[in-house]
Amino acid sequence: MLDVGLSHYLLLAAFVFTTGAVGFVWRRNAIIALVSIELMLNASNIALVAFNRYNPVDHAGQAFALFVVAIAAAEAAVGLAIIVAVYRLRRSVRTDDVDALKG
Amino acid sequence: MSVATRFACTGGLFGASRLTAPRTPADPRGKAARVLLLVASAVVVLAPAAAAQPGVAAGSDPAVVSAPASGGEPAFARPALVTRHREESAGGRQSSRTHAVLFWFGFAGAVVGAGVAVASRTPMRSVLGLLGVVLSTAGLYLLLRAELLAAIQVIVYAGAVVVLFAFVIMFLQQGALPPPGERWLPVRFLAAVALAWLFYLAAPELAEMGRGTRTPLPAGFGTTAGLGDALFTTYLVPFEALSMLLLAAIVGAVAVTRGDGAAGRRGRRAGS
Amino acid sequence: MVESNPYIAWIVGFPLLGAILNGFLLSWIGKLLPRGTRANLTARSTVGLIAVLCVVFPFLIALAATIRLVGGSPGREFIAVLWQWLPMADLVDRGLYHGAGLFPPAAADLSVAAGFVFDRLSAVMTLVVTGVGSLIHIYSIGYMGRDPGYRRYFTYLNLFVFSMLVLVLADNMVLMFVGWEGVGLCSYLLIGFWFDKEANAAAGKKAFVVNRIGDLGFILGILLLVGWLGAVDWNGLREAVASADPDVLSAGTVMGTSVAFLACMFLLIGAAGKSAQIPLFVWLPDAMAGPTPVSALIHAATMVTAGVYMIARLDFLFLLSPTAMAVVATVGAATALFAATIGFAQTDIKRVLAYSTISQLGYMFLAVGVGAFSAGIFHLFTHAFFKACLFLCAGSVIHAMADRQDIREMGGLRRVMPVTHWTFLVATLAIAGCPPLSGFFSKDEILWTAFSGTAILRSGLVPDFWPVVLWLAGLAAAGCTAFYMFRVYFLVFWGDSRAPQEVRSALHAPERRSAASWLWNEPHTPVSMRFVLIVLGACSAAAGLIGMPHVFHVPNLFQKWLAPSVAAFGGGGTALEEWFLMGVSVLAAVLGAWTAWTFYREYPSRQAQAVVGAAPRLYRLVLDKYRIDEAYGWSIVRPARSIAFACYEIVDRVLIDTILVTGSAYAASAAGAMFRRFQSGVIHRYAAVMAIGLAGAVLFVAKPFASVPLVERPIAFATDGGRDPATGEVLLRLAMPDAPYVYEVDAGPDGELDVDPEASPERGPSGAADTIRLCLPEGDHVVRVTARSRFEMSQTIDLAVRVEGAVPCAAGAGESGIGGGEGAP
Repeated sequence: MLDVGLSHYLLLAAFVFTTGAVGFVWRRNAIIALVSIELMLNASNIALVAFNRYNPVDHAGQAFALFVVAIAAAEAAVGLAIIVAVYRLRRSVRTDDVDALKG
Repeated sequence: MSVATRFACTGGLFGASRLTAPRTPADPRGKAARVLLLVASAVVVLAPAAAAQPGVAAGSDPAVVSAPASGGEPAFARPALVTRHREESAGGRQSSRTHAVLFWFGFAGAVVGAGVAVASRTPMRSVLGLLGVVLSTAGLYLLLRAELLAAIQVIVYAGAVVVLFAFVIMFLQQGALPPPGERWLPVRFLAAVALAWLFYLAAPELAEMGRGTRTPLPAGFGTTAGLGDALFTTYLVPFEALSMLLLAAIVGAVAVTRGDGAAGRRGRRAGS
Repeated sequence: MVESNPYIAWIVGFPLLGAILNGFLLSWIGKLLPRGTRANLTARSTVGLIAVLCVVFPFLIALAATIRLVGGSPGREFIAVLWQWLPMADLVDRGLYHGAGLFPPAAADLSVAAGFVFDRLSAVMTLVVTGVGSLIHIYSIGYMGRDPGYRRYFTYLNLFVFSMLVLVLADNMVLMFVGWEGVGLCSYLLIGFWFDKEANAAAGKKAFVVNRIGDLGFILGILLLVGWLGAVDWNGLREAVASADPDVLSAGTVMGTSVAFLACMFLLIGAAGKSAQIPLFVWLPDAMAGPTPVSALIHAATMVTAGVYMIARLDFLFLLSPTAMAVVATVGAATALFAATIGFAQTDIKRVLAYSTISQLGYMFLAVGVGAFSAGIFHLFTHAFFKACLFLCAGSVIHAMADRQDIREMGGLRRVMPVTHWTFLVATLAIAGCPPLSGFFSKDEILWTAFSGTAILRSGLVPDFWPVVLWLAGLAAAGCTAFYMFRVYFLVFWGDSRAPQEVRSALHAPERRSAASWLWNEPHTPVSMRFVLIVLGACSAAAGLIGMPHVFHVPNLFQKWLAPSVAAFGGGGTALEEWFLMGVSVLAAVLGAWTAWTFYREYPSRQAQAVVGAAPRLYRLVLDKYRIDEAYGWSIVRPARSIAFACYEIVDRVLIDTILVTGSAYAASAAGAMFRRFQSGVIHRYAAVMAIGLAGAVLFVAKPFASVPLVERPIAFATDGGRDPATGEVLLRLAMPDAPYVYEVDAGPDGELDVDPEASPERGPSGAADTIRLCLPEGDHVVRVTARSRFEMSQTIDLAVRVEGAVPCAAGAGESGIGGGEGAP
């Protein structure tokens, strides 16, 4: 309980990631889907930083976590823009209503 | 993980389920789905934790001597990442007890926040869950000696991304959002079960990995100077590429919203 | 004495050249030429000239070769081997010969050549084929003169002559079979020459199918000979038969039947199919659907005699089995009589001649069956002339009657077409067996040999009176032949014309200016046809003179000529008997002719109607050709059609059309309908499917590896393998020496590896390391063995090892880590 190590962080990361993944496939609200993606990215960040902590040879994990944060921000911006555009078009943020990929 | 941890997890999940409980009598299927999600989450958290208990993971044949379970250095070298030792730096080690308490706080915050973010009925609450996760993660970063990253997490994630989410939600809720009724689809259920199973599969491995390792840190690890040094030497090219990506994202976001809006205006003009 | 003579190949080559030229080459060349010259290359005159020359040249070559044979020793023969065609030795070398268990070793050296042999027997056949063939080509120029398919006709005809010459000149059975099939094909093409009439096409199909039955027998016969004697060429077969012990040869059995008998029976089936013998004769009457010169050449003079030729060629083989000979003779006699009686009632002039052909072929079979191969070939020779003459006369008559073939509509043509009349009369007399003419000599020789032959009596199954039965059948057939031939003659040429008015008005007699013009002029027959008729008529009259019986005290030139090629006739009787039989057969012929005269001098005839009235049902039966076709239809064709229909319904319609074709289309569309649902366009549904797929991939791929350290029952991949008696080393035996693992061995608390994973242990019998050697000091040890795979998966087991007694290796240099480390103070 008090002997916290790498495995605890990894378990947390795995749990948050799983929660995000389940949320992504489960929820139909596009905004919540984006939130789920953010959760998954966060989870991966936890893992990256934790690995870096226990293998502190260089700052690889933290650097990549930083990149992930930036990418998450970009993804959120573009994703929300898309949601807004779709909402204008369809008056809906339900992912079921967006099936333009069907071609 | 001890029993207390499991209680904490369950409590967090339970709290999440209370938070997300419908205020109005919702359709029973949606409610059932949420309950199912919460129960599944609880099982997912608790079962591998139980499986990861030393001694419970056994069923091991006496002929097999795997890495000795009870503390200490494994007699047999794991090919690993985590056993590489470094000279202990001058930096002081924080007390393991403080570390553990702080970790469990962060853990609880992240788990509860994730549950709320995923299971919440309203998007705004979901974003607040995300905020909880982000802040908890920032705290954990501090524990993990990633100081700069913790700051960035708070500034960028909590300050920018979450706020952007909140803006968009509020913007969209100007029109009446249709109630986001969840339909119970077998494929989604199957996918959730599959993901949970993957977690179940991975958790014992993760729990086994680097348990109880103490790793001394080099000086300057995780500080702004240290990480900045890495970013502007080793990772200079990806860093610059990232700036291009962000630029592209900005232009893309503007183009998507504006272009579509312009088309919509033109369409409306033509229609009216 | 065998001489190589490449000109022999040209006998075969010219007709092929003609077929190629007329078939396509000239028209191809013509298209390349400037516009003005184009027509000349495929003009009728060019086509006819090429076709005739391409048969006349082989005739001249054959004539020259025959003259050289006359000058040479009796055993002289010319061969022309073009190439080795099916060299089995090559197959053995290439490992493609799988007949080691099926065929005798001799078959492994079998080499089938594309070679031709021109000996005395094939000389006769070649002369007949090319000689009669030339005449019929010439005749065809006139006969087919106005036919739109002129070029096609001559192409087929040349192709036929080519195939027939391959058949006749082939020096082995396989090449003969090529010709055999070739003539079958040409026969099919020419029977259905006017294929726009469905009946003609059906007749061609019938001929083809019935011939296939015979061909199957022929193939089986060839294979049996290969398996039995290990040869297919005439000389090889002859030597194999001659050199083998007769007892051994006759002792060979297949399912209780003598191999010789079986082979002869298979070959007889082939011969019966081609030569229209019972039971496969049904195709020949229908084959008259082709142009009349074709009937004359293919279905009377040459192709249908191939069976006789084949049996004569394989005389040594048939002589091995007297029972088979008896079967051949009996089939021949039965066919001769049976077909002759059908001829009584037929009204189509060509059909009468067709049944007459079947009957005469029966005579030939009778002759070769009783061992008189020479007599059979002699009858073949004379028959070619008079039957060709008869057919061509019939063609001439049909021409004059505006394509009417019913003899009831003819009559009185004697004055209108004198040349045809006289040649027909000569040929009729010849076929009926009138003494000085050719048919008399050949038929009489057959009857005499049938009566006196002893070859078939060597079989225990043939009763002693059987030759007499055969002779009586032949005699009856001779009388019948005379009757139906004279019936045709009188009905066609005598009495008053019964033709329809428009035909009769077109007929007119030639002007009689002189005796020569009386013999020559005939307004309804082109010159080419008249010329051929006269030549063939003359040959019909005179051809028999080369084969006069011994009782005439003149040399039988024909028999003497063939003596080196075919087996001599065994048997004989007194001269008195021969004279007597001769008289009886002449009497039978005269009787038949006289009956025909009394019956059919005028038509409709009272006497014939009286006979018909006495036995109307018998008459109907004969008129319907004994309803053989119907019987075959009921017994064979209908069941076969039913099976085919069932196959069509079940295999084709249900299995292929419905299940495979429609079913696969349906399956594709059903699968599409199913998979279409996956492309919902909804992102999170894609994500869900992806998650499921990921879990599946982990389940089937990653998890088996991931759970390796967790297996409850580990694999005992290393066991204690005992001690090396010499050095006392501990041997660790590996269960899976071939698996791609690296083994680490740790045998002590020092934490150092005692066996270098890279060190190569002993090589086991499988080539991989199966034993690890380890030197340990005396005492109990726990040896930890770790197996590492390339994927960094590892498994560890601990082995309790007890080492007792002296350990020589530990006292030594200590090359092993543990031995050295712990042994040192």
